[in-house]
Amino acid sequence: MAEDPPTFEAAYRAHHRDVLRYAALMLGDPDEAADVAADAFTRAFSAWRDGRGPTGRPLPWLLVIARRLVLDRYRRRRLVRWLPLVGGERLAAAAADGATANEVWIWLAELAAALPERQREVLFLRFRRDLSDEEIGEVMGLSASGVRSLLSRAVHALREHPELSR
Amino acid sequence: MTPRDDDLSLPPAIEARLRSIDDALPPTPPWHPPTEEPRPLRVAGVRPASRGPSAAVLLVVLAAVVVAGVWLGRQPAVVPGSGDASASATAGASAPAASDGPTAPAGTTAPGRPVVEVLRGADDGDSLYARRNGCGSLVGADAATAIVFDGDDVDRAAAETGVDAGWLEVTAEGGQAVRVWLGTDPVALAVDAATPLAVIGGRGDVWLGSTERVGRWVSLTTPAGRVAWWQTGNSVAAAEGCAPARVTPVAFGGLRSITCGRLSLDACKSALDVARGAAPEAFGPDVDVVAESSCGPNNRCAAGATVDIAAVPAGWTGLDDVRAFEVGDPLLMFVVRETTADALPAHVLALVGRPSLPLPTFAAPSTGACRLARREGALQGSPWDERVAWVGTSAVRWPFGFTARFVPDLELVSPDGAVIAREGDSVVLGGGWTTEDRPTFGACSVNG
Repeated sequence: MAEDPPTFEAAYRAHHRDVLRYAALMLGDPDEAADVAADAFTRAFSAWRDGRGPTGRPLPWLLVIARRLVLDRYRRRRLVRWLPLVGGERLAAAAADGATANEVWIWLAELAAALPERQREVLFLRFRRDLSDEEIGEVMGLSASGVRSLLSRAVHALREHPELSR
Repeated sequence: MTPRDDDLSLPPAIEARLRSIDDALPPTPPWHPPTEEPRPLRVAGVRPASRGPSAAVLLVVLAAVVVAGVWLGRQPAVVPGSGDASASATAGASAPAASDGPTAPAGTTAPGRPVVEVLRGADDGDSLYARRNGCGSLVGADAATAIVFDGDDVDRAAAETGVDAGWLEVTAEGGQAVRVWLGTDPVALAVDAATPLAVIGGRGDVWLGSTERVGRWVSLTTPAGRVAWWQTGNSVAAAEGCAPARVTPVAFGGLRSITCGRLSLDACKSALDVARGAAPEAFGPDVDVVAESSCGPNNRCAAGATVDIAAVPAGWTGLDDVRAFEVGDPLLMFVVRETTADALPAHVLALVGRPSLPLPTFAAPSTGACRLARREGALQGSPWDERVAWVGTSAVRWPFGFTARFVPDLELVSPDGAVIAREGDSVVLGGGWTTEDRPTFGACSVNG
């Protein structure tokens, strides 16, 4: 018996967190990530409603939309100047707070300083193992073998930064 | 060369770090699909054609444009609230209340009651600047971002000081002082904080500020059911060289809040002036107003597109309290028609402030044993629906003492003030079907 096609709402419930996580890892900012996820699903809904939904699994398709928005944000960041933090108090306070939520953003900033963007991206898409190499390639515009090569380079690069594994 | 499998394995510590991101992310909010397509032309006294206005209607309208253009060309422009009532003629020739000549605006901003210009549905402070000032912005943060306190702190401080609403000084863990504002109404927060601009998002955060700088506020629900707003320290400031806004909020005069959607500030003000000229009594200092163009998001306007205006008094309890107007598009601003709230697009109504509403409940506490019938589903609600809060597709008569509030998404509150469930949460009701006309589940227990 043929399965009913998934509804958009079902895709949203199943994958909102995946899209949000991807955006958060790429942007290192939970607020910006939430904006990107909301925007991605709004655009996806419009396409879905117009019959331009995914041809395969929804997740890679949703990540492609999110990725374009993330890249837009990267471009915009180059145009936006950040005000100086007051004496580094934010990081000091975050460190003193000891909360995982703060630690992970600081760690992501360190990771961004150590690895190029595309190497980080392939790590983010690979670590949960819910996408095949082909699907990761679909998101990043690479072949499956290209994905494996990029991942291999990322893993080697990580080994040169043991401080990130502490 | 093909990489070996062990070349592709992430170090466990890295994997653990990446997995910990989930702890730092907010839960998935309920899905609210974007609503409403642009609607066909409707002008005063003319029924909409099925595929747009007829040629005859357009001819009449074009002729009226010419006549009104000549008429308006003789009238001096004025900003409402400037005090020059004699020149407030933007109500236009065909507005019903304008027959006695130019109409003064409903009033100017009352002392201590600044107008709050609201951008609902916008993302953040950046988008506020883009739309409000038409310029770039600087994003920053300060140490306040890391201040952490919980709802117990707020409840304790509120109990000690006797403050149930408004400003409250809270001592967070570690002795840090946090100033929070208690209440469910972000517009009232903006008024109290004397911050005439607000962006109200859908994720429990708002950006409040002036034309120079805005800060981000987030809400926290305490165990006692209070809603406390606190400033995170994230802020946005106007970039150097940013031109000052051409229209200041006070130019909207005499309102509690104004939300302009898909409109320039000038077009928004013009449409508001026309509606206010037609029905000045509908616009006062306790009224929230939304004006939104029916043009698409890309600003391509079909012929005869309208500006929909909803004026809602504070403390409103139903759609009968909502005054609704349709004003002709920016080229046809003199055409105004008062209509009913249910004729407005749902999202325009939804843009206006969401009040707390009484739930349909039983008149007295249940005395017998709770019957065994169960109803399970996602909690849903809308202040614009007479069911207010329901489960799945079933209307519900809730147990005595339960209430609902929209902050802005639905929260179901038990008689002791605890938040039982939020919009989208799975809820289990115990009870049975009532004998009401509409299929209604009478609940004697919620979540056990």
